Amino acid sequence: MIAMPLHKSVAIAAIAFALAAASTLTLNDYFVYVVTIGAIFATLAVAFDVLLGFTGYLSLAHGALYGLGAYACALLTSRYGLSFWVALPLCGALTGAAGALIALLAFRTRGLYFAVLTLGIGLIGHQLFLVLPNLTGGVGGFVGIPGPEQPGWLAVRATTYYALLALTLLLVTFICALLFVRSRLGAECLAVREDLTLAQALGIRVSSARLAAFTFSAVFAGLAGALFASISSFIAPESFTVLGTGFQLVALVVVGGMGTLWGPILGAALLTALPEGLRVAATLSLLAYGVLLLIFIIFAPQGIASLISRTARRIGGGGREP
Amino acid sequence: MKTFVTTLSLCLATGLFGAGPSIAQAQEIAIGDLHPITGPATFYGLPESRGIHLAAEQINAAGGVKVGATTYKIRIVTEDDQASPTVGVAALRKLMAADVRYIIGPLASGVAPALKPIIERSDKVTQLIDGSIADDLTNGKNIFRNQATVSGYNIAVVELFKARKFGSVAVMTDRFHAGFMGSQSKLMADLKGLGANVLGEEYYKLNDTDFSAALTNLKGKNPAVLLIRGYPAEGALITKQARQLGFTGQVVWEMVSPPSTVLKNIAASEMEGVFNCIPPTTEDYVKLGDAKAKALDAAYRAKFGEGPGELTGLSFDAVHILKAAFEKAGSIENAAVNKAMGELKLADVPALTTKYTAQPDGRLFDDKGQVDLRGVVSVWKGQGWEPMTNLSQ
Amino acid sequence: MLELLPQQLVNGLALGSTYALVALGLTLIFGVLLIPNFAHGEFYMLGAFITYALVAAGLNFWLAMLVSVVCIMAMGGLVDRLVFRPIETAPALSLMISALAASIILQQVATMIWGTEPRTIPAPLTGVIRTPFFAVTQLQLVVMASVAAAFGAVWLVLNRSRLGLAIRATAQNRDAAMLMGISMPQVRFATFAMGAALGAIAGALLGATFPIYPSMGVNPVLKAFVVLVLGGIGSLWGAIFGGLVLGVAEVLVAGYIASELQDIGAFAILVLVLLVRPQGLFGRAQVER
Repeated sequence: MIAMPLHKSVAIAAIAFALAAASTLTLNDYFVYVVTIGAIFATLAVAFDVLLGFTGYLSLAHGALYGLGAYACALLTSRYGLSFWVALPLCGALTGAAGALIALLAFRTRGLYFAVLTLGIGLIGHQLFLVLPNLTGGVGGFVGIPGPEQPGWLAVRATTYYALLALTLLLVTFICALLFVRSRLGAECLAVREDLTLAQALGIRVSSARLAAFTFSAVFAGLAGALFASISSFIAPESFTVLGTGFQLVALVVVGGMGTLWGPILGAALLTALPEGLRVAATLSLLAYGVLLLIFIIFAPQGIASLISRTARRIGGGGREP
Repeated sequence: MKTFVTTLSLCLATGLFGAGPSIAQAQEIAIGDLHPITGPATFYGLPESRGIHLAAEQINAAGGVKVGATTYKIRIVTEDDQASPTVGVAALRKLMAADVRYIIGPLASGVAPALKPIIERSDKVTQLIDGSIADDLTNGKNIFRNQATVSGYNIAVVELFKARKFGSVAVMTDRFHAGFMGSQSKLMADLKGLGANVLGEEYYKLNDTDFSAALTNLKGKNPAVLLIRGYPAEGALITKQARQLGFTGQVVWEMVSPPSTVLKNIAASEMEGVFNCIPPTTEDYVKLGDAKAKALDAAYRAKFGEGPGELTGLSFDAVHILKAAFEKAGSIENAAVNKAMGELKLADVPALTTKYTAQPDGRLFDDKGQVDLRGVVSVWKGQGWEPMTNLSQ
Repeated sequence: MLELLPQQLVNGLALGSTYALVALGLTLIFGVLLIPNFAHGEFYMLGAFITYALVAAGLNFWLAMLVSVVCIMAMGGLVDRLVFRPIETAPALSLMISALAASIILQQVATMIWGTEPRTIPAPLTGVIRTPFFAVTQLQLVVMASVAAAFGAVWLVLNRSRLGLAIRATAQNRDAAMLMGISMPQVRFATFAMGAALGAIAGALLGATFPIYPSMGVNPVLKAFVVLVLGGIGSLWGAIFGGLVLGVAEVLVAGYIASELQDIGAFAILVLVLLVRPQGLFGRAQVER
């Protein structure tokens, strides 16, 4: 993997952010919306990758965590009248706590059992959104969530403002994830992924490392959910299903590149924004998801990111490791 | 790299496929057709979209829309919402960005409330809902609906209970259906008011296959009527399983259920005598010998090689309602058209294939932008539904 | 409510036997090859659709089911060849993801061929047997009987044939089995063919009871994973026992608590079992690669 100095990575991310942000000033409302949704999914994908790519655990509960963040934000802002800016960190804290709880339970199991257990939790979560109509609005959805307040000095369209928020959240998530995976905990996570037994033998705090990774990804999934709820003004349980959101995340991260942080962003761009831009038929876009997922897992399990960095290295001169 | 690539690919997408038709050609009115053309709800959505295209084609061939001194042709811009809220919002944004100011749709009760806040905030778009039946979707300002509400469906159930004096009822409701869930308590209160004992309310969800536990409980209470509210595949299965468990009372459906779909899931003999309470479909009007419905049916078959869907008539009517509103307003500006929609009389739209009940003052829409479209009772005879003229026999 | 208990138990056993029928094929493939085959739901779905198409074309139901089973066996081998063999040595995570991909692809292909409108195979048997305490349909009895028959057939193959010996050897220790000269492609093909056949039988029989549509396999396969975890991965007995337990539990939750909670009940049981016994109710500690 390319290990670029931290400040350089952050600088590149900041430049990319600035370019994306500038583009939202000129694009029409529709494309701005596509950028917004793409950025929210990229945020989710980066958060998810911290768990899947860096510890090797496949969680199918993240669709429900994303939903938890969304419903928490809806409740806090519309029923308790909190400002979005107060609600946002609360939502992150709440999903983080829920994530930590799930992690404590789920890490008692491994491999398929872990996937099936988190699948069960994801399904229960989605069902709860449906059967608690007093809190969630049930199948009819949660109507009338106030949008994030726009500061008066920021004279842009509301849609652009939402896109800027989503891009900012993506940038913050990316930088936090970068710091996390480069920390001691991140290195320990990698050790867990490579060889659990060996990691234990080496005296690595396996449980705290993977607990931290799961909690981290839960916090940012919740933040993404909260932002999604606030800018959509309406949410319904079907946005948070295991089979929709949960599997989609797996596809984004695998196609983009597990274990790299910018890979999932690429994956999100490719698999959410592009089909939207092209308006592909539902059947075809799902088929493309499946085929891409299969091709990548068989021929390029490290995703587009590894293809790009391999090509870049070849062009940059015979396998030089920057 | 990183986000940059995201932006790049997005810009690429914009460059290649974006831009789009920014302004309609002169003398054209663009009408957006927002329905699930692909995805799981296709077999309801596609016949709606086709109904819109058919109506526009016929109107254009007959000379178009006369607004003041100008004659406009209608141009239909079709967008696919895949019956998903997120895709639907993106599709709406795309229509609005292409300056499409009139939108017919959506079908799904999950999509409509997601669009509502965006449309309400905009003064450059008017929506006419032709599919979703959930309550509280219209505002009478720029959101109207020419489809019934679930409460409209329920009128037929109440009429049926009134005529037949059923003593008790048990209900199975699709809890994934926002419309049916939202109107359940009101309907139960109405039935109780008629002296019917509500013995049990059970819930299932779309794609469930086993209803035995709930049905065993309901059957144990021996109700006179089993009322099923949802979609036909589950409706057929519940009807079958109820009979297998020994339920012998009357089965009543409240669901849009094309006979072709019903017969793919249950034998005609097992359906004999089942009641259905929904507004009449194009097929029903044809059976009743209605000339306009027959003409629509024939034109649809000629163009698409198969019969119209359950909701085709509503979508077809929606285009004619917008045409009447343009002509009445003498303008294609949203503010004027919205006002004209509110004032439109039922008699102003002679082309309607659906039989609406006029408001007391003769208008088509009430103050909330909702038409009065009432369910009627049909009974299954032989291979399909027959509208019932006399409920009490 | 208690006088309904016999009927509810029969309902639960009938439901549970459908779960067991789907879970048998899944547990076979997992037990021998350690592949979490999410695409098993699509074997089930395609088995139902092929039977439907043949019955619609005028074939007798049982004959149509037989043809469909043979087709799906071939497809099982093909799916293994294209989806799992290329990554034979990859970690379990990759196998899981490629299984997900295969499942999505097969569903979408079916959507293109048949559309999404649900339909049901005309049932070969429509009779209902009524006793003073409960009613059960002939088709439900057939499903229960086929669970027993399928279990018997698989047991015979595994325990009374050379191929079965090779399969069991592979399940115990793949490397040792290969060293002993067991042909891995043969074992793989046989295992996939048997697993797929079980899926197709389930699809044909249940497709005569439930509506069929492209994503019909998703819920049963999720339930089958619950069954696997309850009964212990790779155990045929466990699949049947787990299926029946899950079916009865679901019906009792729906019948005596609330019908909305039927699904939550199933997955809550799963979560509870895994919390108490992370290796499943009857499972040994999971074999790690």
